[in-house]
Amino acid sequence: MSLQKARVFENSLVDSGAKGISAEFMQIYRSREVGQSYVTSVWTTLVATAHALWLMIKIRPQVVLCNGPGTCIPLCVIAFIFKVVGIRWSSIFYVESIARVKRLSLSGLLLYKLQIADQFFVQWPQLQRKYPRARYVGCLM
Amino acid sequence: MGEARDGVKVKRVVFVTVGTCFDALVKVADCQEVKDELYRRGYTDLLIQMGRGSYLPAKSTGDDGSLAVDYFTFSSSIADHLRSASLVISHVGSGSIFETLQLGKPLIVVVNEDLMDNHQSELAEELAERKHLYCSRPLTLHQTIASMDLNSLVPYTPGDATPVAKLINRFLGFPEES
Repeated sequence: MSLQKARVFENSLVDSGAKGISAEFMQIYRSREVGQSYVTSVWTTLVATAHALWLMIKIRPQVVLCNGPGTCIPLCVIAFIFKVVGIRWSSIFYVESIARVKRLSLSGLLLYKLQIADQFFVQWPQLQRKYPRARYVGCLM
Repeated sequence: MGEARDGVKVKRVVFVTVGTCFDALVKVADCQEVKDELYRRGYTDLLIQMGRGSYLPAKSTGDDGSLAVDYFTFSSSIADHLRSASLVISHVGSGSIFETLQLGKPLIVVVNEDLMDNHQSELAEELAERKHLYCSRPLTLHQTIASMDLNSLVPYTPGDATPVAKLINRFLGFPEES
């Protein structure tokens, strides 16, 4: 449903003349479905990571902008590893979900602690107090 | 109140949205206590988006001087239902919550205690503390409806993502737009 809404929104921007061409949409694999066993998750995470690697090489993005959930982790990790080995294609920006008021999500925690994101945005002041390297930008909705 | 105007009753719809599945909320919204309380407070219709729950509400035309009740499972967009509602009772989904607040509709948010990771209640509690909505549990929904004062709710100012775009542009070295 998000894909459909995103497409509708992009088309409305093109129709109104705000931009020239609509964005391209590609789907990526999830590392783990809700309730999936951890054993099979190892395999699906590997598949998701391989897919992320393929996407990375194909697109060579200058910007990776994500908001969790965990689907974004393989992409961010790949982009980060590339940076570490000197392939500085992508800047990584993470926006924590508006539903996270006092605690970070697991994706957010990983990206924050491992300092994978170049900039880490939070929408509630409580999180900025708890995680000082985060930037508080207020509610985005 | 549902006053008669040229013989036509003014509709005041309560829209309940549960997201994917939240039987406890559907059940309590359909219980006689809650329906009576809503009717007492001047609402005329109850529309429930029930997801794939197993509990089916009892439909009613409301002709017998009670709340008209209807339901559906899913819809591609609840925006129209939110727009025509006088009161929204919602599960804690950020989408439903902020769509409702942006439309300026009064909102009661109901926390699902059966969900394992209840971080969702953080959002409901924070917005309730800021008086943008009422927060409730299925068992306390009746009391919340009975005691709510919708005039005391503080209107929500929609957020703006432009600051994020500016920060990202600045980081990437784009010149600032004046």
